[in-house]
Amino acid sequence: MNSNMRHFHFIKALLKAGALSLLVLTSGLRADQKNLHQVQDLDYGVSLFHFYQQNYFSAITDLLVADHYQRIKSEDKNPYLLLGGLYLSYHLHNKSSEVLQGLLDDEETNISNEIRDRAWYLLAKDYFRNNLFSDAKKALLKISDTLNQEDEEEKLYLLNTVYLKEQDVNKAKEVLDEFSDESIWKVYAKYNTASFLVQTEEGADEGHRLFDEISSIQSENPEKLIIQDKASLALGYLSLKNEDSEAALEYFNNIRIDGTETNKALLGLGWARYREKEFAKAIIPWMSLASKTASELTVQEALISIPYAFEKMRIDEQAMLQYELAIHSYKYQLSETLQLHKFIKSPDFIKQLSAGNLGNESMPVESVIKKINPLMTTYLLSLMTSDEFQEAVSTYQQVKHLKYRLDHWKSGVPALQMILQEKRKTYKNKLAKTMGDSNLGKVETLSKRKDKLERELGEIESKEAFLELVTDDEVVQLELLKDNNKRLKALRGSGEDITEQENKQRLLNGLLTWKIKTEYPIRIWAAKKELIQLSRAVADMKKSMISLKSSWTSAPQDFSQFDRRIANKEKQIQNLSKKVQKAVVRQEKHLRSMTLHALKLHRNQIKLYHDRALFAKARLYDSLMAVK
Amino acid sequence: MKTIITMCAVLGILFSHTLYAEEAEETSEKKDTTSAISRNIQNLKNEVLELNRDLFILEEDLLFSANTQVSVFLSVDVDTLFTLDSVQLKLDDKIVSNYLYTDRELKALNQGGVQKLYIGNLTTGEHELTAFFIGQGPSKRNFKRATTKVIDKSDSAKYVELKIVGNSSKEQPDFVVKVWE
Repeated sequence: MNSNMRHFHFIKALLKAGALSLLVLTSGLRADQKNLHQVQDLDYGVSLFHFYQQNYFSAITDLLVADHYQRIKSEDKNPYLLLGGLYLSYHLHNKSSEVLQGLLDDEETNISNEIRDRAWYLLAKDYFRNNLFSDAKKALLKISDTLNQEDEEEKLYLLNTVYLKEQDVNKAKEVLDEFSDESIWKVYAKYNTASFLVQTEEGADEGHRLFDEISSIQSENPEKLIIQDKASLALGYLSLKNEDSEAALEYFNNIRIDGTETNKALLGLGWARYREKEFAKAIIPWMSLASKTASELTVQEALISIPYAFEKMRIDEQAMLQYELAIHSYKYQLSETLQLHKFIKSPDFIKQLSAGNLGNESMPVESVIKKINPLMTTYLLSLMTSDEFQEAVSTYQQVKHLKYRLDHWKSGVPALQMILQEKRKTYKNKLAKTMGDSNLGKVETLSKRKDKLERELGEIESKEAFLELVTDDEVVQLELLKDNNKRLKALRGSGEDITEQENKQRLLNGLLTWKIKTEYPIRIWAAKKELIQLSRAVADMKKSMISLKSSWTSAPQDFSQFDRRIANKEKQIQNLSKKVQKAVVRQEKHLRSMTLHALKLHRNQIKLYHDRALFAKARLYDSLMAVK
Repeated sequence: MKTIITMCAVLGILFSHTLYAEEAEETSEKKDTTSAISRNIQNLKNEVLELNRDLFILEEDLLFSANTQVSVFLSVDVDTLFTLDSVQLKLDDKIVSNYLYTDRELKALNQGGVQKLYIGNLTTGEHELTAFFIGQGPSKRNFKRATTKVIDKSDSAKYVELKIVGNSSKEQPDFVVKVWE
């Protein structure tokens, strides 16, 4: 979890009751996998490309498609770790745990300790998010020592939180010793432990001590400064509770004047002075508070506390005036919240929560919330910064994105059908032409000729009929020698001396026969080699023929399969579109009712202050009249 | 009395998880409904994901059969020497892709992501692939560079990776085309 994300969650946590609960939203997949892709991992890299843009839907799809074609050949099962993490990021918890557990349970593949640890770490986060704290603890305890520093610290934070959830404060305290000194996670864990302890009788002192440690941290880190303020605030109110106004004042004064806890500190400061009966001094921080955004709980509280302090000082006219100002402010807020009520019930509310571009699957919720009606941020800031609301908005956008995807495919199906139709037509034409080609008949003739040559060569070899392998020149030469023989025979009968010619004829005959015989092994080898090449060529031609014939016969079947697949998917798209549409409506209703509920609570609170101010004003008026 | 109530209210904000019985009941009911909705949404998301996967596979089977398929990927190994604005891809002198990058995409590439730039079909034999990289080079100078590679398409799918890598000795990026079978 990066610093911004943690800060964001922290701000949210501040507006919540109780301990600092940091939701672990990120999957724990990290950018430190940079440039790990190798030859066979291009598709893995493509999935990462989408993951880094928080396009989880696309990243998962890419990985699933690559898995279908078995394109990712890494032996270390990284793709499953990535897939598990992606499911976790996309809030598909069942799938996430299924994939990660599958990876861990697979005994056939030896996975490295590093991958095993990361799988346990992701699985723990998954359980944690689902409030399965016992399972989360088991998973966290299985992790060995291969996590990087940041993840190791987060693991300890989760473990500390799990122990606190299980009321095992001793174990939670032990975990605190395992953090590195500078760890921000340690500060969070320490705060949570302190919050837990101060609520118990036996641990109150230790909780106090832990808060003290946090409040005295020397750091410039803005995140730590916020927790520091929060700890000082807790100590301030604890001191007030223990009737130690002096200590309370000190703690409240430690809080920064421009922090997130300033308003609560100003309120506390007033009450600490009030407890010491220093009413005039109590009014100062409350007046400063009253000049701030009136819709905040602390400001509303201050508005009604100011006249009460004036009453205590017996400055009744000023008290009356301040009651009137408070009543006016509450009335104004009630009127504005009524407008807000109308807005939430209008279609504009949902429109403003929709992402501008539905094709954009990773619109940050914060950017949507920023553009919403300002009355929402004035009166319902705590709701809008709550995990529940942000998750509901994010889910709404995801469902709308599903709708967008289905609509995209719905319009794409006719195109697929048309392409198939064209392919079918083209294929048929091409195959018909190819199959009608007269050259195809020659393949069979060629094959027969090859068989004949094979037989002939076999006979030559078995009979060593070397004369069968003579060259064309040698044939001519043999014929010439044969003719010469005939002529010499005729001359011999005429009584001429042809001894020299006969010797030459014998020599030439011998030479040629010697050459033919000695070259026979080479010639038979060359002939065999050529025959092998011919056999291969004929085999390839036959293979092509078989392939062509098979295409011819299987093509209609393939096309029918495509027809069926397209029809099947079209039906699925239609069914799912209906379901998604229902989910969109349901989620809109959920968002609206959640917001209206929060508004109702807020309005009730304002009404309560309003009624109390009215009552106090009436009481003061009566007492003044009685005096007169 | 008022002081105590106020203090309790503020302390309540800080530490207490206690809810009134009525509110608690309502919240628990609300949680049940929320988790039912959440389960429903999870199932739906998974169903659409699976359908989306099947449709991509169907599309690929239909349009890009294994023996003609060619895919071009883009990866970046360095982010200091070159900031990519756009890539134009030509196959046999025909433009098949023009891509303009967003900041988010560049960040994803620099983190190690790989972009699938193009998928198409090619006949067997030799084909010329040319990629034009447009962006900003060292010292923020406009930079345009092209790289060409003749790829020999066999009867199996071809994967081409365009890599932008740093060359510290030249203080310039190199553009490499790698062909995987």
